[in-house]
Amino acid sequence: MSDTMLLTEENGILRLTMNAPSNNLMTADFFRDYEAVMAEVEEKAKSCGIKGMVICGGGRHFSTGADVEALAQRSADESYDDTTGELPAGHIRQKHFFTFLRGLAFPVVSVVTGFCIGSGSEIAVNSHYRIIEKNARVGQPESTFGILPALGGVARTIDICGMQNAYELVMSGELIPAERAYEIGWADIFADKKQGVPAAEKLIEYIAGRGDFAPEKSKEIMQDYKENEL
Amino acid sequence: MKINKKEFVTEVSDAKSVSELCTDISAYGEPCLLIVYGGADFSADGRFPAELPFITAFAAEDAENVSSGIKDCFDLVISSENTDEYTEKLFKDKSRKQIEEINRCFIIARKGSQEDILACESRAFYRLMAEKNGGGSNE
Repeated sequence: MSDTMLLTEENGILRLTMNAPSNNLMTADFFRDYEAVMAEVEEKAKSCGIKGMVICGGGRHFSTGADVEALAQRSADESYDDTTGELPAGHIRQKHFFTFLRGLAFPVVSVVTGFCIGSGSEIAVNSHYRIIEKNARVGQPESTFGILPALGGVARTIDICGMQNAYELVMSGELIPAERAYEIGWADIFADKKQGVPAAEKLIEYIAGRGDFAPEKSKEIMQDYKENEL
Repeated sequence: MKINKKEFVTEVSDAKSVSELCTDISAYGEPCLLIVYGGADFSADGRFPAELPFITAFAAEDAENVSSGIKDCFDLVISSENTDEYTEKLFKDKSRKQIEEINRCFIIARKGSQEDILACESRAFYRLMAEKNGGGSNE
């Protein structure tokens, strides 16, 4: 385990605290450490007894997203042949460690604080649930850099908040405040400052109590939770 | 039916139904976004082909209260009062290539699975990154 990715387990709940420099700016080092810790999560997921997982930023911000210049350099060094459509192995591996979260047999909850931008937002949208704290701002600004989100940011945003909201977020690249993110369904729960992690743990305990979590039931379970517990 | 072609957007007014809009799709040129200005009498009597290579928007005075039938026919429902502002916000500083690559993911989303969209966004990323890195391929 690295200093920048702190994975702990308490009462059957995994907690990943991201503590990378510059408000979790996703540099090559960040991605290396992230992939390593997610490989550990994938291994732990094979054992029974995990009720859920919380992902959060260690400081004020969830993540300020990818270092675009580093990303451009990395992609220039990679081989992609558009005639075959075969994607670089490094991208497939990296994307796996974002998108596999959705397939886990326990709920993954991102607690979104401060800035949650770009690839940082893609960690959140690949989670089953998002709890957003007051004053957070989220968005997929990749389009303002000439590219688009490619770690699940398009697919998952469509799934979470529908075609129109996703199109506007991805195409405009605009950052939106927590209230708006909740209004359009990007976030499942709106929390006051510092209340996101306790709210995530409460949700996970509720789901564990039901004993029927499955990724394809995640929306239905959230609906029940809101009706019965909030 | 009146057709007004702009750089990325084609605007259509005085159309009465989806089936009328579908009679000659080539008449819209090659827009990134087709905006249809419709009134209360507009009929959602058909469907655009799922593979239609651009995004469709229905512009109404009261976009909040458009019928579910119309919502199902169009990718977007927007207010007719500020469409220029809306499209400016979407497409500002973007190339046609970039808009088309992003559109491609949303076009696939009309019928495709999450896996299809995930694959589409990855390939679009590498095509756009190649352009950003100087216009060549990444090979």
